[in-house]
Amino acid sequence: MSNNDEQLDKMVSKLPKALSPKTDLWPEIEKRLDAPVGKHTNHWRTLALASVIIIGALLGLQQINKPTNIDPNQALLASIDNIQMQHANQVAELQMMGQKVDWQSSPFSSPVETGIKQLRQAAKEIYQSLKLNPTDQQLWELWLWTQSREIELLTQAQSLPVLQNQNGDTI
Amino acid sequence: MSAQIAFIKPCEASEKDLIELAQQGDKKAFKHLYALHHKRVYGLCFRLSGQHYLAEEATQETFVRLWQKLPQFRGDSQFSTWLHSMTVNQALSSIKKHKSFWARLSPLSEQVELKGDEMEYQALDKHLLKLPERARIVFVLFAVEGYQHHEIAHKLNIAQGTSKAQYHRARKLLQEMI
Repeated sequence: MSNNDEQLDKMVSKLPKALSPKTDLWPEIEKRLDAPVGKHTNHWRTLALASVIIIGALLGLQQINKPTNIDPNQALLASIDNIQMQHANQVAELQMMGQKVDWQSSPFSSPVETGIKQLRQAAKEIYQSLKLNPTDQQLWELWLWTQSREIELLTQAQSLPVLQNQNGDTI
Repeated sequence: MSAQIAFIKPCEASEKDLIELAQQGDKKAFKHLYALHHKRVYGLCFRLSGQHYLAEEATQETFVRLWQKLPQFRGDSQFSTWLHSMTVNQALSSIKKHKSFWARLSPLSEQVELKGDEMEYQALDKHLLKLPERARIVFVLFAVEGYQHHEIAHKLNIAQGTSKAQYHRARKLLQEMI
């Protein structure tokens, strides 16, 4: 063992475990003791919020670049198509994974599948409205929510149990 | 029951009594528990995060979480062990929340200078702050806190070999510093 090694080990062994904070932390802790327990972070909400901020920034940039001949809605329409394509890919991937992993349909998944169908119809209508009105923030939020919900439901449907069929018509 | 603590000086009440009282919602008892453990919690948070403000935030979060989770403590393990594990998890979570992707990649940026009047801090603390984040965390958990590499790997969601490699990297860097 080299001198440096020994010295380092000695320093580690001498290190005090406790250190004093610079400020008194108790008052802040005490204030929070009565607060209700926080809910689990909703990542989709964060994503939706981030999307709204990006859209806001895009709109702001478009306002700055107004003198140019570029259609201000062009970038947003491109974003809509891009997001739609990414979502479609994600859905296709999930469905393909479902087929690979378990090709029996779960009897419990029927209400979920109905829900997905309804959600897709709604998303389609929102998508069409959004194409006509790409600067509508509320429509954006709603559209992104329908997409996230669809993914959630698809994932949920895949994790539902499959009942064993006693008649032997499945492999 | 909560009035009971008023008649017991902190030094007279055992930690077990304080835990029991705090479990029933006694804030005074919980404050005594804070007084007993906050320096240890802060020390751990500071060495893991390398930042005063992050260490303070993680310490506060740890005690708020402790208050919320205390009713679940059944005494199967030592209270200090339980709190230690909670502290490490909270500190790692605070680091993850605050540090940007770039901060993790640039090891020697954003250094905290420990002033001369901060006598509690040893020379090694100053060197620890100069280590890259991941290497520092692994070194602190392994060498200072006595965790095993498989435990560190589990906590940091990395391979055991990565933990070992980070530890050796930290050790090499520290040797060059001292």
